[in-house]
Amino acid sequence: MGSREYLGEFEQVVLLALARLRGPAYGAEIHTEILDRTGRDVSIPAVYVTLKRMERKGLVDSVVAEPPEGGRATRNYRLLPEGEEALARSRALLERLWDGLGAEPA
Amino acid sequence: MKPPALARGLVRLFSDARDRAFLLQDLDDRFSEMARAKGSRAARRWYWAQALSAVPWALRADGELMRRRSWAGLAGDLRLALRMLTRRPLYAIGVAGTLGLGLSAATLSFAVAWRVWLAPMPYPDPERVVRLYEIEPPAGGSGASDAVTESRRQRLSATLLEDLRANSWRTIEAVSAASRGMQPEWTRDGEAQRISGVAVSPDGFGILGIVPTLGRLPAVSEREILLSDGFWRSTFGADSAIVGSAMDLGYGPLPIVGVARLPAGFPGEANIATTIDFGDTEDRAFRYVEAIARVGPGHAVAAAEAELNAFLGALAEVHPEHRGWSLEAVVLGDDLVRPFRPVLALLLAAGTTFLLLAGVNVTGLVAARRVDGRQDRSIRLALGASEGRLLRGSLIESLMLATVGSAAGVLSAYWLIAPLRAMVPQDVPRLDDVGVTWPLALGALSVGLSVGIALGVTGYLVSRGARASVGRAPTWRAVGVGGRRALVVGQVALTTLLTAGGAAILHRLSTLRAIDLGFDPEGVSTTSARIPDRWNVTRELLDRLRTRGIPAAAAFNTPMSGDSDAYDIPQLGMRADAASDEVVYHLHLVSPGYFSLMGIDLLAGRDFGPDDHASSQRVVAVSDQFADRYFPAGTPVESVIGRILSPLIYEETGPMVVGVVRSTRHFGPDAPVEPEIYSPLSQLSLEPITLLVRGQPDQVAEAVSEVQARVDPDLRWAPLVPYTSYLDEWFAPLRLQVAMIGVLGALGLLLASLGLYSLMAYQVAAARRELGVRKALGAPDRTLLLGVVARGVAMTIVGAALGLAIWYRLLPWTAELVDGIDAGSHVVPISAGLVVGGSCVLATLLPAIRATQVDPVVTLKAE
Repeated sequence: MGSREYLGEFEQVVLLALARLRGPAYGAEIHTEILDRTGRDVSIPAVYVTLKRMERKGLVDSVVAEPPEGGRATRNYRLLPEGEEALARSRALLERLWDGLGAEPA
Repeated sequence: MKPPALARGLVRLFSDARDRAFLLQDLDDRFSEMARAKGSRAARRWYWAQALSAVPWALRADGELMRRRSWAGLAGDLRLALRMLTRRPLYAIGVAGTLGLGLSAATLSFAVAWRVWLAPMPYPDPERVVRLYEIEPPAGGSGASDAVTESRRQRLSATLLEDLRANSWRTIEAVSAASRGMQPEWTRDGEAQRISGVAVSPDGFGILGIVPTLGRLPAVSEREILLSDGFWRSTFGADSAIVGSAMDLGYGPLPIVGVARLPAGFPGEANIATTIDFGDTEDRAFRYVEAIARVGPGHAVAAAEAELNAFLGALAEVHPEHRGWSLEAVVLGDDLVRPFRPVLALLLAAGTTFLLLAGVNVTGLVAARRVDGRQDRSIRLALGASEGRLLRGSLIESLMLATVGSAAGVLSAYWLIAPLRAMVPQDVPRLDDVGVTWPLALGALSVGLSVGIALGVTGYLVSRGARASVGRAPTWRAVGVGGRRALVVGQVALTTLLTAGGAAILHRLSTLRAIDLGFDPEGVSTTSARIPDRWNVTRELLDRLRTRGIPAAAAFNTPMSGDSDAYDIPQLGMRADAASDEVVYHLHLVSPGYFSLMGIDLLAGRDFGPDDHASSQRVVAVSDQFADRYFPAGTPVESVIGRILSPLIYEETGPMVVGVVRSTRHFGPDAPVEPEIYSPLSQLSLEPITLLVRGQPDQVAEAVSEVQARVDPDLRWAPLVPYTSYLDEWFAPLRLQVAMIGVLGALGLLLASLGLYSLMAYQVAAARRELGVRKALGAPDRTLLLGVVARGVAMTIVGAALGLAIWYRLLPWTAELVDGIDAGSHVVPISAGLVVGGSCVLATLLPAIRATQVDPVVTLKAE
């Protein structure tokens, strides 16, 4: 459901961070990735809320991973093909909009 | 190093249940890292920022949820709550009804107490407006108590009022007469109707802050009419052309000069106001004027009183009528409310108590229902409902009930106000203004809804506790039941107390009503005037009235009218056979026909007649009590007694007794019968003369005023009122007490029954397992039924006994507060206890029957 929708800005940020991590990642990892790449200390609760919403849209899915020795359980998210598609669509949309403005997209 | 607990709580509250643990863990980890890297201060600040950011995100997510499915959830919860409630109509009615009753009682008592007692009087600076009384010296001379009793408080004579008005005061701005309760007959388009009026001295308008909204105030010496704003709107359709026209109040057309808002409460609820002019009267002992005054700004009422008394002291040097008397200034608002204050305080306390009790009782009902329905909870949890969802469900259910209950409570209070007003005596000040106002209604509703929220939370907590308690004996339940049991016992006790009080007052009222007053003024109207020419004028009045077919009589000093005229017994030269503490006799001066008109039986001898005149043998009639006491051996008729009024009349011998009449209770049914002597008005005359005619005021007013005008147009007559109005006035505070306590007692009974019911229902619900086991083991229904009823009966007996014990304990105090409660009667309080007990036992029957219907198989399976 909702796969034809465009992504919101924060959704794109979270989804891109997840894509960069290449593989299942949990909230704190995604948060760190965003922080490292953009320098923005985004809200961790916001990351969770956004991930859950995108899971409902079918862009990502999640499993609760068994805790490793001495570690703790995490909910790990994975980018689904629908998520990759949505990212591509968003990028295409932005590029079409930037086209001819004489500047590269940020 | 731990993250700030409050912020962590915020995150917990505003996060999705599924991810909550992971989110908190992530935040905690990051917090620790940050604390190590940048210090705890920065870390805490960071954590707070993160926590606060959770709120809008969670709300936004919730908003989406709402849009997507939560409305469906809410609707579902509403449907579920409705289904639950319709499945248990008795429970729903019980909760909503109890809450409604409590709120209704509280709203009503607040509405009455506020408007009658607590709200500021509707004129400017009410604390500076005082009523003036002239206080009679204590009867027993200097040794008597200094406390001012009601009977010593007298009105002012017109002469004294004029003296006060003429004086220039330091502490007082103005003094005025304010005569309430005028009921002139207004003839409009040939049709007569009775309206209410008030007459004040010219300064009275200023004292009461009356300013004309149209036209001007009535002039000093003219008979001009000021319309009240309400009367002007309701009767004249707010037509401003009415000013300048005239009204016929039976004295010919009087000009209407203006319209003003007349303060309700005092002086009464008046349609019109006019000025009063007493002319030049000189009788300082004729005290009949209601006087008010305005104390100057910055001066205490006590200071004004002191200045008044200094003035009166100086006056007494010249006028012996004031010797020993004093002036009292009482804040007018207090004076009007004074007789009703105890019952209003009681009313307020009872209303509040009932609201509290209603709250406690509905909590009991909800708790019982929750323990009973703990399976629902297990099933819903198993089906995936969250705790929050269950709390919401509980809140929705109780808010639904609270809404219905509060609305019912406020509406019933609104509807009950009018019948209640009709039930209580009209003498209660500002009664007409009592109403359920918007602020009061909204206040009551918000109290009701707050109770609803509290109930929802309590219900939820109880059902959680109930789950936790299976198989164990949780302390909260033990404490809870103990506490609730004590509350039920307390309620039964309180209700017994109230019912006993109500029954005692009712008993007293009926006893007093049944007391033979010795006279029967039914169907007699009365008015009074000072008649300077004495007997000739009075006789002409009576003759003219009788020729017109109106039985009439005249008298000085009539019973229960507030008049009093008593003289020393020893002066008569009488000696009682036994030791008697009576030192005075009442002297009545009456015209022929007085006894038959007033229903006073002639027991021996004869009535006065035309042959008893100024130059004939002086005669008197005496009361039977006088005869029994001073002529125990035989009839006093034909005996000559000592001279009456010896300082005024010098005669060689006293009058001869020609008749014996039945004793009257001069000061009302609860006053002792005292010796009385009647002398014919033709031989002895004092003022004021009371005119008595047979017929209701509206039947005879016209003829009476015609005759009065014919005989002497200059005489000023008080308004014609039914004689029974004196009796009504006397009974008014008592009737208010009966009405209030009756309503409160009935409400208390209902609430106590409900409280007992809810507690027993709760206990039966909680003991379902035990009952199931006992039933499975073969206990007969009767045993189970009796087991439950016995518990209810035990609590009822303890409560009723406690209530009665308190009743007897408080009796001396109650007897002081409410005159003449019969301390010796045990029948009344004990029957009140029995009524309460019986109702409470009935209230336990339903849960008891429920106990017998426990299905052991179902119960045991459920555990």
